[in-house]
Amino acid sequence: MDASSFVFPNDPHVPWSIMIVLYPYITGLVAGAFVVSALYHVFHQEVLKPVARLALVTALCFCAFATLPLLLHLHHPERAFNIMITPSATSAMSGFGIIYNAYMLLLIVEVWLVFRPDIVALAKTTDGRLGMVYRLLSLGDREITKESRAVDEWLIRALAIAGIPAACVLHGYVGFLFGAVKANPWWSTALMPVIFLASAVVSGIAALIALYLFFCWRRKVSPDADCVRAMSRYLWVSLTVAVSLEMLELIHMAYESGAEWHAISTLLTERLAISYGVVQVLIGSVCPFLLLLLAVRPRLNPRWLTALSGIASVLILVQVFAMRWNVVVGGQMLSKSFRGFVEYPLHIGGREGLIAAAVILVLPFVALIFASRLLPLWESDETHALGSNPLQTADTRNSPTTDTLISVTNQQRTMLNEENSADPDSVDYGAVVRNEHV
Amino acid sequence: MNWKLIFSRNTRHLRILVFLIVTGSGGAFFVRSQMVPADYGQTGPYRHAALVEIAAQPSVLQSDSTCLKCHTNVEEERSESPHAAVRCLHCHGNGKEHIADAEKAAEFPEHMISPAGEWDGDFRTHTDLFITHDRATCLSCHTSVVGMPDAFLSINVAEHLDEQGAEEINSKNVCFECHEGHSPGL
Repeated sequence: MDASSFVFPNDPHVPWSIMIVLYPYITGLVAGAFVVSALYHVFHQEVLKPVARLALVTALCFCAFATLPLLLHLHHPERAFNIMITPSATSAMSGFGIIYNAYMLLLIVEVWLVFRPDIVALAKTTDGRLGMVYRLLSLGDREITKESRAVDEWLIRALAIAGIPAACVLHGYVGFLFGAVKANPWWSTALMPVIFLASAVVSGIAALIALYLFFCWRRKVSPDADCVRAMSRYLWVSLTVAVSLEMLELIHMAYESGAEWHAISTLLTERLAISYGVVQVLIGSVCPFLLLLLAVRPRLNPRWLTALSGIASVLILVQVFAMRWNVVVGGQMLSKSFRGFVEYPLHIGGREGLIAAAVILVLPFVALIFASRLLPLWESDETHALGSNPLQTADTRNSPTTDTLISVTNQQRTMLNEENSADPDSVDYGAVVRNEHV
Repeated sequence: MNWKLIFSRNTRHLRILVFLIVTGSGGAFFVRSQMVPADYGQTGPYRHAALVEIAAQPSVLQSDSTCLKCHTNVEEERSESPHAAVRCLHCHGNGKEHIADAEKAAEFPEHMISPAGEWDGDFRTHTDLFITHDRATCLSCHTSVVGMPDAFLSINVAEHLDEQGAEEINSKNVCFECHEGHSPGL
C-alpha cells in the first residue's frame, strides 16, 4: 500500500474493500424496491401496479445476495454465524443478524402471499419437476377462496406496512454503522443513516425503472407510460432529497471548517476528484436531475419518456454506487491523523477483486430472470389467463376455460366469472398465469 | 377483517406457514443452544476460557525490558535522548526468533546467536529482528508534514541534506553519517 504524508503506523491500509461498498449498495436497492411495492400495496398508488410485483421480487432477489459480499470479505465466512448466535445488545453490527433475518422472512412471506394464487394455479397445471416446485411452494394447500384471498390481502397490506419501517431500519442501520465511527469525520454524522436511506430509495426506484424497461424490451411490449412517468416523478423527488442531504452535510462541514476540513477538502478535490466530483455529482446527480425534469413533462412522447427515464435511471444507479464508494473507501483513505492519505489498490482478481464484485452484482439479476420464469411478474390484460379454479374438480379443470396458460379477452373472462359466481366459494380470482416467458 | 376466519379452513395455508416458521425458529434456537459454548457470556461477550487460552500463548512482540536484559549499553545510550520514548521494535522488528536464540544460548553457551540482517526496506519480507540504517525508518517519523507539532523535529530531507552539506544525498544510510540511532544528538 502506498501512503502519502503523515499516516499513523496502525493506519496504513484500507481494510473495508469494494465488498463493503457493494453491501450497502445492494441493501439500498432492496429497501428502495420495497418502498415502491409499498406505495402500491399500502398507499394504493394504482399507477404503480405494473411494477408492484417486480418491485417485491426484485427486493427479494437482491436481499438474497446482500450478505454475499460480507461473506467474501470475512476471512472466515463461517464466523458469520457467530454474530447470529451470540448477538450483543450493545453492538450495532450484531443487530444486522436480527434485522436482516426479520426482513428476509417478511419479504419471503409477502412474496409468497402475493403470488399464492399463481402458485396454486401453476401447481395444478404444471407437470414434471417444475410442477413439483410449484406444489412444494403451495405448501400443500391448493385451495383458494374469496375469504382466504381477503385474509391474504389483509396480511399483504399489514406486511407491507411493517415492511416500510423494517426496510428503513435495514438500510438506516448500515448508515448508522458508518455514522457512529466517531474517529472518522467523513462518516461521523447523525445524518448518515438518513443520507443512506434517501439514496437507497433513489437507487431502488432507479433500478426498478431500468428493470421494467429492460423486461418490457425483452417481452417486446410497450412500457406503461403513466407508470414510468410516475416512477420518474418519485425518482426526481427522492433524488432531490438525497442529493440535498448529501450536499447539506458537505456544506455544513465546509462552513464549520473544523480541524478535519482541510483533510476532507483535499480528499474530495484530489483523491476522489473523479469518483466524487465528476461521477457522483456531475454525471450521477446533475445530469439525471435535468433529464428527469424533462422526462416528467405530462405531454412528452412516450418514446422520449422511456429514453430519458432509462438513461437517468442508469446514471443514478452509477451515482449511488459512486456515493457508496466515496463514503466507504474515501472515508478509509483519510488517515486518522488528518494529515495523510492512503491508497486503495483495487485488484482485478481475488476474493475481494473487481471480478468477484461484478459477479456478485450480476447474481441478483440472474435470480430475477430465474424468478421471472418461475412466477408471473406482470399483470396485464393481454397476458392474463384463467388459472384453474382451485375448487374445481379434475374434470372441469380440463375444460377449455381452464386449460393451461391460455389468453382470454376481458369479455371472455367476465362471462366465465359470471358462470363461476353461482358458487360463492368458486369465484375465479383471476389467478394470473403468464403465457410468455421473459 | 373477519377474525373468525383465522380458525376456518380458509386460513389453512397460513397455519401451515406459521407451523413452518415456528418449527424453523425452534430448530434455529436448538442449533444455537448446541453451538454457543457453556462459558460464553460469563465475563462479557466472549468465552471465559478464551482469556486463559490467550494468556498462555507465547508473546510475539517484545517489550523493551526483554531486549535491555542483554543490551544494557543501549539503555544507557538513549537515556538522555528523545529516542528513549521509541520502542526497540519500532526500528528493529519484533525479534521473536532472536530472543528464542538468546534464551537457548543462555542455557547452552555453545549455541550461536544468529546475527540480525540488514533491513531491506520492506516490513512484509523482513518481519523479525533487523538492523536498519535505512533513512526510510528515520523519515517515517521525521518528515515534515503540515500540522506536525513544532516541538517535533521534522525536516524536509532535501533541504536538510543541502544545509548540512551531505555528499551522498541519495545514500540510504545518509542519516547515520551524522546521527547515531540510539542517541541521535538532536
